Amino acid sequence: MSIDMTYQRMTTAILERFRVAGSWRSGLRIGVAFLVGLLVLGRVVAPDAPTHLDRDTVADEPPSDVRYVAPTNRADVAGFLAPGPNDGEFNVAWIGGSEIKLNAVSLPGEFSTRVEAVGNEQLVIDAYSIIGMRALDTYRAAVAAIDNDADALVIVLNPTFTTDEWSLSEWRNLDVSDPMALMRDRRTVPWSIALTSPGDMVQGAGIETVPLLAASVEANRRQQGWFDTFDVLLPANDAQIAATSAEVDERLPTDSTSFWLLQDLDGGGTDIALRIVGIVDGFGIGTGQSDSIMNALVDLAGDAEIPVYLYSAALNPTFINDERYAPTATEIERRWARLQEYNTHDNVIVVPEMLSREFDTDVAYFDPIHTQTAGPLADLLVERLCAQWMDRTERACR
Amino acid sequence: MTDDNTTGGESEPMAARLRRYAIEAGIGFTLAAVALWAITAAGGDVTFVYQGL
Repeated sequence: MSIDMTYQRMTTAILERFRVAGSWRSGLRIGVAFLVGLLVLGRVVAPDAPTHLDRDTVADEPPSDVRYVAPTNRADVAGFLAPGPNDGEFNVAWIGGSEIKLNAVSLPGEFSTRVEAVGNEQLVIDAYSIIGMRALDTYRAAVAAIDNDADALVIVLNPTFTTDEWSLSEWRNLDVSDPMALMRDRRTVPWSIALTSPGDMVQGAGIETVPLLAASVEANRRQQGWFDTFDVLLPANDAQIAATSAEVDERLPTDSTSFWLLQDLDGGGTDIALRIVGIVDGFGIGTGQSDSIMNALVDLAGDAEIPVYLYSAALNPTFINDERYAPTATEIERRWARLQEYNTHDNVIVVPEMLSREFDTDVAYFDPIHTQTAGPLADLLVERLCAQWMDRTERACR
Repeated sequence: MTDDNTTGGESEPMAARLRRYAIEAGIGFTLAAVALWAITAAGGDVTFVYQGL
């Protein structure tokens, strides 16, 4: 029996046997029951409202009490879940990508082990950190942190993700969690219209009214627990997977998602430093849109009237001092200098030079961007941030 | 075609009407349950809904 015939039989049965759905009034009542069902069932079967503690975050080493409030996977539409501010707390929102938190290495974590309080208030750090954070993701995080009444912001922009040809927004689930965040500044409005689909708006409204949708990640996890019993892929054969992986073309770089860079970099695609140079240099496309978003970020920070410290990711000194890559590092600093020039807000500090130029000691890096330990950078930032907070709030770090 | 209040030109008995309303509510709730299950099964991503349309 064809699908069409089955459907026809079903609708005929409903229409003739039960005498429903035969008029627009009946259809309307079914629609109303559907909406009421969404609201009631979505409330009754919903897990608890999501919190930042539900998310999978690797513990800091050394241990810290930093709260990681950003989504950790792209299906998580609950947005930034920073707890509301309490009296007696100095709340710092630390915004950045993997350069501030990569597995157990955490820059805010190291900072929190060095500073306990600001004035008489306990230091509480909320890390708005997501992997591969782009300019618009950073902007959204800053909006969320300011809305949460943060007392100070620390913002890191990774220069490899602030060029126009490289997607300016990586975390599409943020379109859903706060669809209005990009509507506050005329420079980001076109991005809001372009990125936020009608589906995102509907889903955004849905998570506001149906608790199950707000807690969809946890609900999905539970559902998988029930249904994966039947999933033959779950007890996957590791040996089989390993055999399949070995079949990957050896001419591709290890990270084969970047294979296209081979063409643009004349065979240098396996050299991560060269890849970064290629990305930062923008393949000749420029940085106009990204500059506009970064300028909007500076103005957003300025209007918040709280201390804001904005700097470029501290690239590996080996990278920035190598003559092959030095021009790229210099260009990044030139760009950040333009941002500094643009900034007219007393409460915002834009640091044009890379902080890694000022390390007193040699710091081990995994690659051109990620440090193996965040301690030396934390030491430097204790000095810089505490000076700014003292200047702006007349409160000293302790 | 079944009219909302009459069947074959005669008034529909109250019991039959209530039964019909109950069936309509049941259909609406069932559709809601299926929709919620489908959305959570998709990890909260509802884009498949309009992409499918």
